[in-house]
Amino acid sequence: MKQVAVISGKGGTGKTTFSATIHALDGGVIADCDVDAPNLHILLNPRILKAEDFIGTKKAEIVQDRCSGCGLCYELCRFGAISADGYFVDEKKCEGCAFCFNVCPEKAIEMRDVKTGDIYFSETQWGYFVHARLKPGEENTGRLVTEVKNRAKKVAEDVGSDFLIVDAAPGVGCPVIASLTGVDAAIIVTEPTASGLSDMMRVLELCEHFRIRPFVVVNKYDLNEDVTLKIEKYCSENEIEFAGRVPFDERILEQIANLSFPFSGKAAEKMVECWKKVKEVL
Amino acid sequence: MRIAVASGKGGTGKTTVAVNLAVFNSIDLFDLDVEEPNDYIFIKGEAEERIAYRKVPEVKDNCNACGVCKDVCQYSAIYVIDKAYPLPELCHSCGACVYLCPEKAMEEVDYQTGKIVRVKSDEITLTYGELTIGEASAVFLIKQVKELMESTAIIDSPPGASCPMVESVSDADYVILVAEPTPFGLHDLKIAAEVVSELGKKFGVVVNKHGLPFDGVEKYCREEGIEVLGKIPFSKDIAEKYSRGELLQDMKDFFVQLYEGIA
Repeated sequence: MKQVAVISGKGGTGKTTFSATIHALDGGVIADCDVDAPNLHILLNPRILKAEDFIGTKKAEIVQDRCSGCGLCYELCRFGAISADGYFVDEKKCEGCAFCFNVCPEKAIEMRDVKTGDIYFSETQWGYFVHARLKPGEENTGRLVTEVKNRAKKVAEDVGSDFLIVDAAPGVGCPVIASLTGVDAAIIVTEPTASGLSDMMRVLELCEHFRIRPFVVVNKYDLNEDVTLKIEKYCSENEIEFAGRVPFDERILEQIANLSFPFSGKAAEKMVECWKKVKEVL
Repeated sequence: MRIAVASGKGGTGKTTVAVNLAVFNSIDLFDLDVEEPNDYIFIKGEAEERIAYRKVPEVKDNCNACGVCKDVCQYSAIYVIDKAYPLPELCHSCGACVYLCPEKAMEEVDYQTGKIVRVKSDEITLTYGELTIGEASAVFLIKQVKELMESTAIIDSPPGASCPMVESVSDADYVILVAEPTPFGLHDLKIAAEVVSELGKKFGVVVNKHGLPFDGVEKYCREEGIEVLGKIPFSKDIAEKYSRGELLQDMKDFFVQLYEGIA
């Protein structure tokens, strides 16, 4: 079983459209690892088979009866999570480092489990789907991504799927790093804009850092063919595998608006071609 | 007044709104999307940069491998064999291991988390952070970039609805949520609106790519009583200008009015 992450650096380049399209083609198992703004379920219309709580973190809580008001926790907390005014913990700022818990001379601080999201195991018309939702504003997205990915991997092994597709978040930080951990390849879906190019270079650097084999797909390539050529040139000069160009297709926008999925038309066809190319090499 | 430009979904037009809003109202711009900063593409000028650090533990010779540091670390960022080995990329810089080491065998040293760049154009100053590749948390760098912010600023936030986005909007007086009229855009707008409401921020929505065949975003705003501050049309011309890194000179009035409507 091969694991393939779909990443982009820049948001809104078409990761979800691409991932959903290949799921509808090949079935198998797919994971939505963009846990703080997940969108794949909107297209895949899954039937949830099982839901689990995600206990994402522990947070400090000061037991007021035991607190002597010495202020050590306030002094030592690096995250400004303890208010000096009566000593209580601001849950939003607490990083769960337990520094205060470990130093409190009165043992007045407890670390409590906090649920920060839900994990879903679902079935789609084409295969299986593992997804999640992080409580808005929460942290530890990386850990939730890892949980989603591990579960999806197990399902893929159990059902004997050839591929596990991982739809990742934008950026280069912890959720993306967690999405890339242990994958066999990453498909970078980019767009021919100055921002798309800049962001692509940074995710390529990330792939290199973690020794992940990248493939590049340029979506909406005809928006600016000069930049598309620049991207292709960069790939060929740096020996990065180029999986193909996808044209801008207004019909896909209508299909997204009406949620008529699987998509049809020239963009969807090209995405399938790009995927087949990646599949062949893997 | 500090105005943050945010969105749940990526690629909805945050950068377009933030950059044009800043330039056409001559307000300094802070790009806090340190994982993938893009505002620099639109703001040209002389750049000055410096390295940004955070603190991580370093182990001294007197470490006796007792393992206290490993036990107190909540992030699995230290392993112990013959002595303690910290893993800086996983470290959250909380300082607990250093403080609690019974042998005083750890000290904090600077570790590069990214760089901070200031670009002075003819109109404004852009300040942005660029996270070092491989660093997991953007928050340390975002906090340091924020320290340079005055009381009037435009802030370009990272996408999503987790800690980097929260950190970026937390000092803003007003938040503009940029949404695209698609089912994805609507879904993520709801998440972003939940975050900013919970933070007690005033906010409104700018609809970008207006004209796409989906009315759910405006309907949602109407039902929830969220003000729609303006609409940017879905146009090939705008997309091409963006692709080349150009400002939207034709829409100057729109961005002046957008600012006046909020401030």
